[in-house]
Amino acid sequence: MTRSPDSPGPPPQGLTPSSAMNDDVLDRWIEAFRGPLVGLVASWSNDWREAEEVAQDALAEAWVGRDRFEGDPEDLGAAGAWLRGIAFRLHAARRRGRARLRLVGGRKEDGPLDLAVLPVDGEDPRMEALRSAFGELSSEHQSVLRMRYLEPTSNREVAALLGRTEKAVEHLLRRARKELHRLAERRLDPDGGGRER
Amino acid sequence: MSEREEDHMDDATNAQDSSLVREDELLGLFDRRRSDAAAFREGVAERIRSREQEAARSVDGPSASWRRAAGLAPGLFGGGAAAALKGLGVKTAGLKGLSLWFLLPAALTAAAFGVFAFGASSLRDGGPVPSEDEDLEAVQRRFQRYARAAWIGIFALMFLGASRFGFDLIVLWFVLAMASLLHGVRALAGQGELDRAGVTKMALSVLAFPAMQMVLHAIQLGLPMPSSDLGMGPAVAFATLAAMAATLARPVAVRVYGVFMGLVLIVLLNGAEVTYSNARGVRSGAENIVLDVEELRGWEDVADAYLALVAVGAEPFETDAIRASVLAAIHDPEVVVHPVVWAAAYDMGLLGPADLAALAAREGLERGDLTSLNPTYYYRYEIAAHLAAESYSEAELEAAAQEVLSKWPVAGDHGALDDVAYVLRGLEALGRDDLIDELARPALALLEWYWVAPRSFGSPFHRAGGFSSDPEKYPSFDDDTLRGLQLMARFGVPEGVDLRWVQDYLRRQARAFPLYPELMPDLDLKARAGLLQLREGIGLPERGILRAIVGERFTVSVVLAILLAALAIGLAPREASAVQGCQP
Repeated sequence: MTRSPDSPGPPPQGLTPSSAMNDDVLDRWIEAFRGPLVGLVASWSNDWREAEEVAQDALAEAWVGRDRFEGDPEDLGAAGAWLRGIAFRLHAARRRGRARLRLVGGRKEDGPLDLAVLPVDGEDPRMEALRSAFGELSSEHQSVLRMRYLEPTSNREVAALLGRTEKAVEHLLRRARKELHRLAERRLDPDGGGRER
Repeated sequence: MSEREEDHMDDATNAQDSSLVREDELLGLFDRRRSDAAAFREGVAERIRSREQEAARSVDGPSASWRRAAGLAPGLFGGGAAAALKGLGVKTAGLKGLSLWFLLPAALTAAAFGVFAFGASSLRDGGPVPSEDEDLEAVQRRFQRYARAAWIGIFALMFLGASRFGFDLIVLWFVLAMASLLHGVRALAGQGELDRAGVTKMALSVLAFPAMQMVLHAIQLGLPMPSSDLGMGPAVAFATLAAMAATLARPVAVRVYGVFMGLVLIVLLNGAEVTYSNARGVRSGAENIVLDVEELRGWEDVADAYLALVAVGAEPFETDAIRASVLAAIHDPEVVVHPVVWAAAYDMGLLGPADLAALAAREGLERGDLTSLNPTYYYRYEIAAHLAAESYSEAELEAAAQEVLSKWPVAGDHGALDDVAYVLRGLEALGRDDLIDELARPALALLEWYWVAPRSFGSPFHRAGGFSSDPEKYPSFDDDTLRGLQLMARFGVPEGVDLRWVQDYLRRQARAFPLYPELMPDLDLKARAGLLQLREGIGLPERGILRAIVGERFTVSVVLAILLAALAIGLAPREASAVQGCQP
């Protein structure tokens, strides 16, 4: 996994020239950021497949352009900011492309299947309530939950991508989970649910 | 304790909190959205291979067009525009003599076209530059902040007395407004909040409201707009129609806003003065003035209107009634008549030799007076009256001509243009065209001296562009300007006099407002007569397309701003996109 700057272990590679990055670095980036990055991009659109593609594009672009990366490749914060910027630019470029298509061909912007919450047959009522309550959360809460739980990961990677401290992410997650719980409870028990306990 | 351990501690604490959704539930929520790790890794690797192959193919370096542009740059910024344009194969013969006063407005006009072209291209490409961390309110706040800062800055410059550049500042505002609108639209698009109503509202707020204030300010101060033939009328009319068209936008709030803007603009349209004077208008203006031989009011105006109509070959107005009243006054010594009345009648050719002789008798003109003339301009009829009343020898006439010539002014004399006109009328009466021809050069020098040249900075109330009795002390006056025009019609235009500035001064003096009745139209008659003589008698200098476009930069910038706004509104979706993020 990744190493924080002040943790024990191998000597810091902050001064390692970017060109000297080996494939291990890429593997570490993918391992650390795959879930959070897809989750982050998924917050900008309605299309999971596109989110995954943009995340893959961003990692590839970051790797091909690693000579331009001036930070320490082992520093999650620096790598996260670098990846987030690239991902956002790629997402914006896709959006422009869609806008062109919409002007020319009148195509709808988003995949219709991704717009709605897909029902799951025979799903546990609690999960069903969580799923539908998720859509009522603020975009910030949705985003942090996607990034943290799409793949099993830690707050550190989420914080690195969001450019925030781990503590801030932790508080945000706590508030998001609490709000989601409240909304789900209200759905499960409209009369008594949703009250703060 | 390591961070990971701390994480687990926190997770454990959170897991015990029953007010939170459990982590396993959250992980389960996204189960079906989770991708295969190996496939994801392979996807990244495939993309890397593809990019590296693409990079290997594009090692040709910069394209020919970029190289050409790079070659042009030093020319544009170091070696002069003409040389650079030659590099592009543009003929530069017509660009000689371009002054700073042309290049600065030209740069402004180019900026208007540039921002429009960039904006149109950017909008058509659907090219928002989103800012992920900002919410919609932040974008709008920033948009308003930029727009307000630009507005305050430009208004401050206006109030600081940059009157010569007043309209250029408004053009600059439209350039900035286009950029600001573009920024706002792109930022909104980045937020997924772009919809037609929002863009319409933004366009109206950035273009219509501040522009209205500026144009109103320009009208109130009578800011100069010398390079334009169109004036501000067509642009304001176009803006009004555009604002009204914007009322078709939804929702109702925007529609109401648009109607309000449209109504305000209609009031402003009223400020788009009548900038052009024609023979019919001058004729009817003169006919509407009621003349009384015992009153001074209106006589000079009517005479000047008559002379202007004749000078441009137009049909003058009916003068029978005026002639009858003047003749009656000549023969009635009880009526007190100011010499201005006789001079006006003389200018209009209403007095024949017998009438002039009778006038000489009434005024008590004596033979010896011909060699001791009073050169006040309104006594210009006296020489003709002397000649009609008495016969003079060649020697007396020569002495009279020398007496007239002795009244020729020198630069610095107060009201010198009237003196010049007096001398010319006297020599005309004496039939000394030979002497008049010799006066051409000194007349041109005096015209140049008495022209009120524009100042770069100064009070907008210092009306430049016309002629003055003392340009070092006073601004332009209608009387002196008309006298200057009459002299230029005879001798030509001095090099130092810019006829477009003369036109601008007269246009500002002659303006009328469509919705308001003209209570005292005779006040503007002199300026309208001057405008007529300038445009149809003397004629404005020809200008090429480039100069015309630069000259009409106000209209150009308004039209471009409206077109850009229309494009942004047209390309915006009717409703904001429903991006809420992917759902689990």
